Amino acid sequence: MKVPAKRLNAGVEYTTGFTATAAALCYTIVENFKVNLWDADLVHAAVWGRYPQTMEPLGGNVSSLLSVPQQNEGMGYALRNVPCAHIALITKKNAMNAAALSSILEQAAMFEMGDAIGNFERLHLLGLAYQGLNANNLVYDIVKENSKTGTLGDVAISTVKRAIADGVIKPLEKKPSGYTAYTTDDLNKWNAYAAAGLLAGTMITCGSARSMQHCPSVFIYFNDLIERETGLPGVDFGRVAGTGVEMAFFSHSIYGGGNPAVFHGNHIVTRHSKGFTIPCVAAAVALDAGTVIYTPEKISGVVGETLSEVPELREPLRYVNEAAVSIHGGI
Amino acid sequence: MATEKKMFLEALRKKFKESPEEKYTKFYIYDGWKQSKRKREFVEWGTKLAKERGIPFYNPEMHLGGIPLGQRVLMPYRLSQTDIYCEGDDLHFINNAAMQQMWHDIRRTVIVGLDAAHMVLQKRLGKEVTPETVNHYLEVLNHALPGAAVIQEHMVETHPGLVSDSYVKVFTGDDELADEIDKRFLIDINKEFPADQAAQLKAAVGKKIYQVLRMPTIVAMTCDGGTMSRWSAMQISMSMVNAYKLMAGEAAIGEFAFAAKHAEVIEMGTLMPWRRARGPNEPGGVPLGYVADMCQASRVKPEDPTWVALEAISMGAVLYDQFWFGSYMSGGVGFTQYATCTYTDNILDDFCYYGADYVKKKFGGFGKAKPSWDLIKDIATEVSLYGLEQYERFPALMETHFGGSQRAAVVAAGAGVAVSLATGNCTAGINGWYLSQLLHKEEMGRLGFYGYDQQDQCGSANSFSYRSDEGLPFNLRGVNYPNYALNVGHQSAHTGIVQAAHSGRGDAWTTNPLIKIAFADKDLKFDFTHPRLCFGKGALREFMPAGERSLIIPSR
Amino acid sequence: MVEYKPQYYPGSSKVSKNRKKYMDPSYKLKKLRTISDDDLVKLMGHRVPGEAYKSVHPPLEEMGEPACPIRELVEPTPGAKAGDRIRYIQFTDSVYFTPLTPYMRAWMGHTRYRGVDIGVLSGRVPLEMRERDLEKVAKELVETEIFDPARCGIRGATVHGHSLRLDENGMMFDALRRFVFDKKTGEVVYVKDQIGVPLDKPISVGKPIKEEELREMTSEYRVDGVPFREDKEMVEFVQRLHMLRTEAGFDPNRVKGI
Repeated sequence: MKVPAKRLNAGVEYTTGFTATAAALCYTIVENFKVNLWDADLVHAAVWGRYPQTMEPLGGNVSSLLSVPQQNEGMGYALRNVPCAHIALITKKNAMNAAALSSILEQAAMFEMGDAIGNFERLHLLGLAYQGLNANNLVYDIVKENSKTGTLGDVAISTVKRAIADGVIKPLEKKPSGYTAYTTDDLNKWNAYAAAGLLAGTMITCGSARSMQHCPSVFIYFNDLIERETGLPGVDFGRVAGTGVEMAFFSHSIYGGGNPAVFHGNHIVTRHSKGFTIPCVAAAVALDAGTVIYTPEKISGVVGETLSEVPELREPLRYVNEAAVSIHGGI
Repeated sequence: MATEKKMFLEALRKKFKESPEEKYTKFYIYDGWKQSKRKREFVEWGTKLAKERGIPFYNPEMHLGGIPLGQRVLMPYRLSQTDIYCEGDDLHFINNAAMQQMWHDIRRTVIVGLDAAHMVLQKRLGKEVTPETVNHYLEVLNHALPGAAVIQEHMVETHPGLVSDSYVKVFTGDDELADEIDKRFLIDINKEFPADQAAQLKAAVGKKIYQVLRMPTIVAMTCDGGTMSRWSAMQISMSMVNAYKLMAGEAAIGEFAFAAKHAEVIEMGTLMPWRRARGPNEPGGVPLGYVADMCQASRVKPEDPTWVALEAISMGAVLYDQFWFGSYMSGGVGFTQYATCTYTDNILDDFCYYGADYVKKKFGGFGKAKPSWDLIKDIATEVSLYGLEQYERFPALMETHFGGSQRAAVVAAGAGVAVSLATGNCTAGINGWYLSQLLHKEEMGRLGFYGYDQQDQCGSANSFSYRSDEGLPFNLRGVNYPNYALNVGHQSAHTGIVQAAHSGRGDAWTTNPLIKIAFADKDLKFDFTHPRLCFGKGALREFMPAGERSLIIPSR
Repeated sequence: MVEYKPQYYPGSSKVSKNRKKYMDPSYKLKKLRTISDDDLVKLMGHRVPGEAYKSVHPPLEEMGEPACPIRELVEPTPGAKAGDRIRYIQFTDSVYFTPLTPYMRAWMGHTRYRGVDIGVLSGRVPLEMRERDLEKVAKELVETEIFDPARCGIRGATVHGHSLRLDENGMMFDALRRFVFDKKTGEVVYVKDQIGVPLDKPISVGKPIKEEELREMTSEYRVDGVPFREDKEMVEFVQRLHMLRTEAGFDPNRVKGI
């Protein structure tokens, strides 16, 4: 269902797509099937579910990519409320596109949350470019370098090597033990490189195991390893490691709920990193060969299948690239 | 206090028969649960009640397929800086009436400003407001608040014997007005606080007058936190109508209701979003600084700010770790031992006094140094390494805090409290806590439970952040602050980090002077001046709570 | 690409050097004991020796994979190829001079092994992998110098013990008494598998490593061994990392050349 763009643009609320569609569906059914006064409430229930006794259309038959605003963890979180199961299926389980779509949504949300403003805008734009959109082929190169036998530790080292080669980091001081601490003049770029390495590390670890459950372990220990390798802060300056700690707990223990496919950035477990964790989860889910009971297909239902028909969502890398080429130099 | 004494040694000697320095012991010889008086009591009751109800019940043989608890020593616990020893079970909030009452006393408290209502009376309704009319109104409200009728005929009412803990009092910063308020209704700032604190508080309150309303504990137990301001607003509005002889249905009455329900109300806790959805006055919505202000240790022993912080920590531990995380959020039997580590066996006390002594020696007292990287690194590192080394020096101490989350909380609390004491800046204090956690992880090569250090990894970056959902003065953060919404074993001590910054520099309150005054009330059931002692009394079954139902149930 | 020698871990003390050594995959861990493949399978308790691996999905070749450049690049592990279930081995390490700390298990596990899912708690470290991959890794984890039979435990549940004093034989506490000290042979013997199910025959994991040797091998800082505060390089490393994270949280543009 496509809602007229004018109707959406005239409003201030993103739920118009849902409400207009659900209402139109109700009216269409009532009119076409001449539903009478006594039965129309059942049509409403079939379309809207238990809304408005519930906050969301519980049990209804209209669904949208974004959830109702009441489910948002905070202001500007709407775009973060898309489960990785949706992302993986929309992108047909192509891990690069899954990460790209997720990164676009997450980093766009950073603008909506008020995070990618002023001193922090470049941090997020570089993160989107290097982690989400494979700038300079960084993610792909690191994966390739470690594709046959590489470990997560090897990926961390590949990332450091590339950062040194590209002049992003440099030695600061050699300690008496012989250990060299590194520094940078562009922490935002170092963060983008580390974020790209994190995604590559996810692809190597979850890719080699063809399993999604490994990803929180990657989030913690890629950062631990790269911090101890360089002396520089890990991705999002500790926030990805923190998110990994909690996600490991909540995806592996009785206190939690669910495998990584149900995770998204709009959750108290995963909201802490500002856009750098969830793209990796989406890639991990895309790479899973079927190790879980609640598969992306079971969780996502028709949403992923339907939205994969939208080329820009299914292949964001291609379309973002084409758009970028078309406006190159024009901004 | 001389740190050479190691405050925890006495408790360790009671807990274990070997010397605290001894590295070896014996296991599997303690006869399981039978070594514990409390477990024996549980078995007796469980057996008896299983017969009565005809459904299997408490049976420790179900534990681990027949390997019951008690393969090692089931050690007792000392309530820190008291002489009370109890069993661990006595500190579960279900088994401890004092803990329950502390929470109920917080939840059932609502503060409502009275000045707006007086303006409505004077400007819209032409009524005279004098100290006499205020006293009369308070007498009416003390009848109505517990659940009695004031303006309607043929109403059902609550049994006074069930709701006698419900009342209203007022306070003001205006000494002249306070003098004219009936003493039965007054929280007298001059009487309850040391002179310098009273002067600070009165200056903050000014000539305003506030009501402190306590709903009945039985209401706090059977309804939710959102009930409280509704209950109080309804009884306030009806009492106004009665006391000032108003027409109950005229439009101006709507302004009373608006003032009493919204505009003039201070709830103890604010509501939380969908996934943690709870209404007002639930533990998750109470900020750290409010808990610190509810604790009244600061007015009874201001000369010992470390003790003050430790008392506040015990309240944070019970409220946030035992009630909120342990029950509301996690379900199940709860997280008692994540919390008790902060207020038992004088361990955190030892670490905090070590830090306090270090600060005094190095910086010439409390609140005298400005925050800096050198200071945070120095103090947080020294106190953290001291704490870690005690665990390594005394195997009995390590065994007492057998989980890494306990050690992490206590070590970091010592560091955070010390930085707060030194600087009077609790955000610097919490940053010291985060440095401590990173040092701990590297030193021991282990830290807490699976998800323990989520906030500690994010914490360095977020402690001084001023971005959208990261920045917030530390006093106003609580367990609904995103990073803090999942981590048991943190916010207990965070309460003390807030408290230490303020008590170190002699502040009368940390965050909200109204809250500090509202809990300076001897008629509260829980003793907010000595929470640890009160929890101990609860453990010994010597604490009498409110909310009893014996009047309306068959006698046993 | 620049010549670069991986550093793995900072620090100037014996403990930090041990950490670095164990994390460096080019260092070959010393084999101290032999546990037969069948005994290891029994200790883990996921399948009976000789039994075929159970599958959670068909072999990758049979099921086919979605079109994805990363799947094309990344070689699946043998267990992933075959569709094995993901199973675990979990260790508890005493605080008394064991070769590995919990975080060391994760750091080392991720530098040495591919496709591992490792979690860390204060008293246990679960390691999950595709089952046949797990068995290979578990063998190295149990047979080499990073495992002490008395102070490390293979424990699926009821892990309590890491922080407790040792028993009269120098063994770590185990409420389930999965392992016992055989005074006749001087060896540690498992009588139950990692989750606590009794074994049909006891399995010896060898003699405890002597404390003086453990003190040389350990990756644990301790005040009665190598105190952390004496490894100034490590203390400063952590302090700097914390300062950089904090400054970056305030304004990443301020962090330049420090």
